[in-house]
Order: sequence, then C-alpha cells, then structure tokens
Amino acid sequence: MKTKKLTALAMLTALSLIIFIIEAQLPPLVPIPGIKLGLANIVTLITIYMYGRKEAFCVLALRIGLGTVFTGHMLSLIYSISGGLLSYIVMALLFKLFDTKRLWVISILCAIAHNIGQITAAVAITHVPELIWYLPALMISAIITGAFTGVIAMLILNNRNIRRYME
Amino acid sequence: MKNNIKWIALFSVIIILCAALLIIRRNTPSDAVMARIVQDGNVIREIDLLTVDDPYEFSVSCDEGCNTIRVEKGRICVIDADCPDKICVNTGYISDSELPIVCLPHKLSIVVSGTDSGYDAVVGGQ
Repeated sequence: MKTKKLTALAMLTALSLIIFIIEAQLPPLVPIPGIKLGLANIVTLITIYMYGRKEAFCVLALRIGLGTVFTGHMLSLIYSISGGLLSYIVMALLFKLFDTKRLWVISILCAIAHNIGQITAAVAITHVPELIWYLPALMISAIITGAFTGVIAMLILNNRNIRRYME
Repeated sequence: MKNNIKWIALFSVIIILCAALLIIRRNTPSDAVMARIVQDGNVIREIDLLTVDDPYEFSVSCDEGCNTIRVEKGRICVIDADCPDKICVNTGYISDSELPIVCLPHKLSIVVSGTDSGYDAVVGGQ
C-alpha cells in the first residue's frame, strides 16, 4: 500500500469517526429507535467509489470498532455491526452497477439495508417480534436520510477540486 | 435522466405503501388490554390495563440502568429512564398494539396485546 493511499484512508477513517461521534451526541429527532441521518455513511460511500471494496470495508470496520470505544456500550456495537455489515454488503454488490451520478440510489438502498439489519438485531436481542412494526417508519426514514447522504457524497465525488486534493 | 425517474418512482411507491400501512394500523381498532413488560427476552410482568383503577408507578432495573413505568387505566408509559437516548420516555403513553415502547440500551420493551391468545400462540410455537 502506497503511503499516500494509507494516509488518505487513515484520514477518511478519522473523518467518519468524527462525524459518527458528533452525530451520536445529537438528541434523537423522533421517538422512534434507529432513526438518524447516518452521515458517517457519506465517507464509506466516497471510499468505495474512490478506492474500492476492501478499503471501504477497512474504513467502515475501524469506524464501528473505534466508534463503540468512544461513544457507547457493547450493545450498540451489535446494532452497528448488524446494520453496517448489511449495508456494506449491499454497497459492495451494487456499487459497480451505479456510476457516481446515481450514487443516491445506492445510498438509499444501503440505508434500507442498514435499518433492516438493525431491526433484525433488535428483535433478536429483545425477543419482541412486535418491534417489526417499526419497519415501515424506518423504511420511510431510510429513503429520506439515504437520499440526503447520497446527494452529499455525490456532490463531494463530483467536485473536481476535492477529488484532485484526495488523489 | 430516465433512469433517475424510475428510481424516484420506485422509492415514492415504497414511501406511500409504508405510510399507508402505518395509517391503516393506526386506524384499526384493537381490543388490546394486556401490557407485557419484556426485559432481555423474559416477560417480567403482565398487567391488565382495564383493571387499573388507581395509577401507580414502579421501576424496572437492569445492569445498565433503570426505567420507571407508570400505569394508568387503559394506558402505560415509561416516565423516566437513565438510558442515553430517552427514546422510551419520548414515546409517551401507549394504549394499543400499534407500536411497542422500546428501550434498546436496557433491552426493555413494553407491548400491549390482545387478551392473551395471540401471544400464547407465538410462545407455543417456539
């Protein structure tokens, strides 16, 4: 791995970690568990488009691991992993099919996968199958927040100045 | 551009379907009166909400912290908790099976369900 790439990936990891920690400090917008903007996913999306699957996985895994150390408890690690892993799988399988102009679609699909992963983990942990009724609300929120983060990632990737700086 | 519109249409349909599901569920009358308090997968308390004449409060504690639950005639809520997100408190009172109250950090949830048969069937199947 070239030093420059290593530095860039380390910076992206640090960036996503900062975004993740700041977002975790914000009070929840609605009294529904699991709804948040998912701003840290912007960095994962940018990484997978600029460097590839392996690199994005490293950034994501490090962010989840370190994010748990800095923000929370073991339990939030389980939710982060189940959501993050499912959304990463969707991203890794599909990102070649969508160019950066349609990145918002990938972002929404990732957000949906993330929420499905989290609700599955919540049902598994609490043993309360009724929690599945949160899914419709979570789907709506995933589409809105996914589009939002996707458009931001798109603007960053299509900005020539930022790209030149990163490459 | 055409492709974009297809995707926008797809996501719009999903949003509308989910919204419709939520509205239908909200407007479906339910005869749910049994509140189940589930902690870490175990039903720790069952309350028939219709038989509650005087409101009362009690606490449920776990390793991570404590939730204070208030029971009134026909409805139940978490009035205080020391979890980080306070989502359980902000959910407010529930009186039917529309959505359970859940406190993910404390692995606690409160589900209101019909008299009893529905839940027994689920348990029996496991």
